[in-house]
Amino acid sequence: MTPLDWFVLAGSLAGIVLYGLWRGRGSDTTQKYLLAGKTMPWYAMALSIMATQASAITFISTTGQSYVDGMRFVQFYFGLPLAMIIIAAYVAPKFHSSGVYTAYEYLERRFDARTRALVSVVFLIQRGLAVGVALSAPALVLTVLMGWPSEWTTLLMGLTVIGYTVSGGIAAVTWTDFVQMLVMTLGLFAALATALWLSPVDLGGALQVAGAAGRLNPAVWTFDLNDRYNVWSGVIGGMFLALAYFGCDQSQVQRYLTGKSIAHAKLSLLFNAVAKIPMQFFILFIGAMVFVFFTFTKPPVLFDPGVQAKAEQAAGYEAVEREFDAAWSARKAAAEALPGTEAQFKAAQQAMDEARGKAAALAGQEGFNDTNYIFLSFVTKYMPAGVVGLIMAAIFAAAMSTISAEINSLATVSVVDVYRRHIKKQADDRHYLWASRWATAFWGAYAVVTARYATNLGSLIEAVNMLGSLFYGGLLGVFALAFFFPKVTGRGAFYGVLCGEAAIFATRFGTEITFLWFNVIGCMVVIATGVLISAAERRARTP
Amino acid sequence: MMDEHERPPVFGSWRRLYTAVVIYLAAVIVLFTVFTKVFNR
Repeated sequence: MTPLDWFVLAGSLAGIVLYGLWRGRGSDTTQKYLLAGKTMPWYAMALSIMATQASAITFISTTGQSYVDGMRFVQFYFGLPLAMIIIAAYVAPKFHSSGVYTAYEYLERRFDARTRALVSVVFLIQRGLAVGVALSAPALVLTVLMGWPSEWTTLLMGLTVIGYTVSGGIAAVTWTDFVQMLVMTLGLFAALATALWLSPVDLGGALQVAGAAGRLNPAVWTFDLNDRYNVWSGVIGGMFLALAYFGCDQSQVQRYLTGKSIAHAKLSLLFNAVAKIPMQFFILFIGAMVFVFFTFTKPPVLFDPGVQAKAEQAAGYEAVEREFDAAWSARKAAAEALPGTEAQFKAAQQAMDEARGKAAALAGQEGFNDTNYIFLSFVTKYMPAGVVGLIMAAIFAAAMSTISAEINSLATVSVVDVYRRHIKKQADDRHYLWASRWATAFWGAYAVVTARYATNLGSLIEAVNMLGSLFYGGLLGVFALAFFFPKVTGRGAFYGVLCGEAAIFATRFGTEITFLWFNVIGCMVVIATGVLISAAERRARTP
Repeated sequence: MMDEHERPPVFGSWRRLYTAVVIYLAAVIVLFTVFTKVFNR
């Protein structure tokens, strides 16, 4: 990075922190600290919701995913607008008008303390595992590509986030999210403009090359339960996932609980319903354009420099590299002769992929995946001074917006659903405000510490993603019972969650069904079990 | 300040706004399908 890049990065981070501290001043009651005194306008909540979802690893790997697999990942978001309508119409008004601090507090009002406790613990486990990874994942990539020590990257991001989140609570989180989202958008536009500018072909030519490579596929209609991304899994599975994430996960629910009114909360959700798909399309399109760039500029055999270095040490690497170079030259020649050479292009692409597989095997990395390194490799090696700093700032902003929302929501559930409910029930507001600040600091420190371990255990990222998908179906099911099944009892809800979770685990470990369907299956089992147990309970009570 | 019963700033009612979002989603999927058919080979 050049001095200009450092200036842009440091300036952006300092600006975000100072703005957060300024916006968070006056958070001197629990309600102000955890719900911003319910004063947030819709546009601040809207961008905060969007920024919370867009983590750094999403930012880094989505572009890489498009590079290797095309734009079909965008279908993952097709169900989101439908979920947002359901949440805006039914969920947000109930949460808002009931005056709760957390989504799980609502469950005690509707069912019982046991169900609230169970779901709160599920949330704390799931989010607690995820927060360290959210912090470690970008640190890991930046360490490999930039040579920055992961301890320092983790500590820098962690302490920055803890600083403004502990000080200003959710007001600081929401307003910094707002600015962070603007920085991310700026970074994305800069990335696309530079990718197009560096390409030797115009936009029409770029679309032709990316299309020939099968990268321009944002709609795939083939129905396959084992295929992650198609229109069907996106609309149905994506809707259930979005319902669970935006409707039951405190890290998102808390965003729209801060609204000035129910109407503001609804508007913030509907803004995301409209803006999220184009934003993801845009990010994926950048990945496709990076692919076009590397069609005319020779890419490294492997994008992960660590694995590449290992492969280079192995016997037989030179032959693999020659094979890769020949395949790349053939692909370039086919691209220059398009249209009419699509078959040659695809054959050369396949040969390149095979050479990459062989190189990874030489490094002892069977099943190797370097998706996360593609975009940053392009940024650091080819982007002009200043733009690199801006994109680094965008990646830091994406990481910080997710982590701040997560530690803020973890602290809220810890204090409201555990500490105030079960440990110290009668204390004044100052005490709970003090507890909230300490809980925020605790979860921030916990994130920094667990990120250190997550950095050392790369496979943990996969494990946590998998764990997350195991819990959302149960959460969604119990909230569906709460909102839409008035006759369901606390016992029905409690055992419904347990049965739903059992069904999800059985699906995960006993079938090949892809994770997007876990939420559908889990939710359905919770509802069916909850309704049946409640009906049996009512019948047993009837004399 | 808007309350729950206040009309949204566009489309006159929440129901119409929800319908507009559904139509928008359908249009996006159709557009992406056309995009895939035209450019992806």
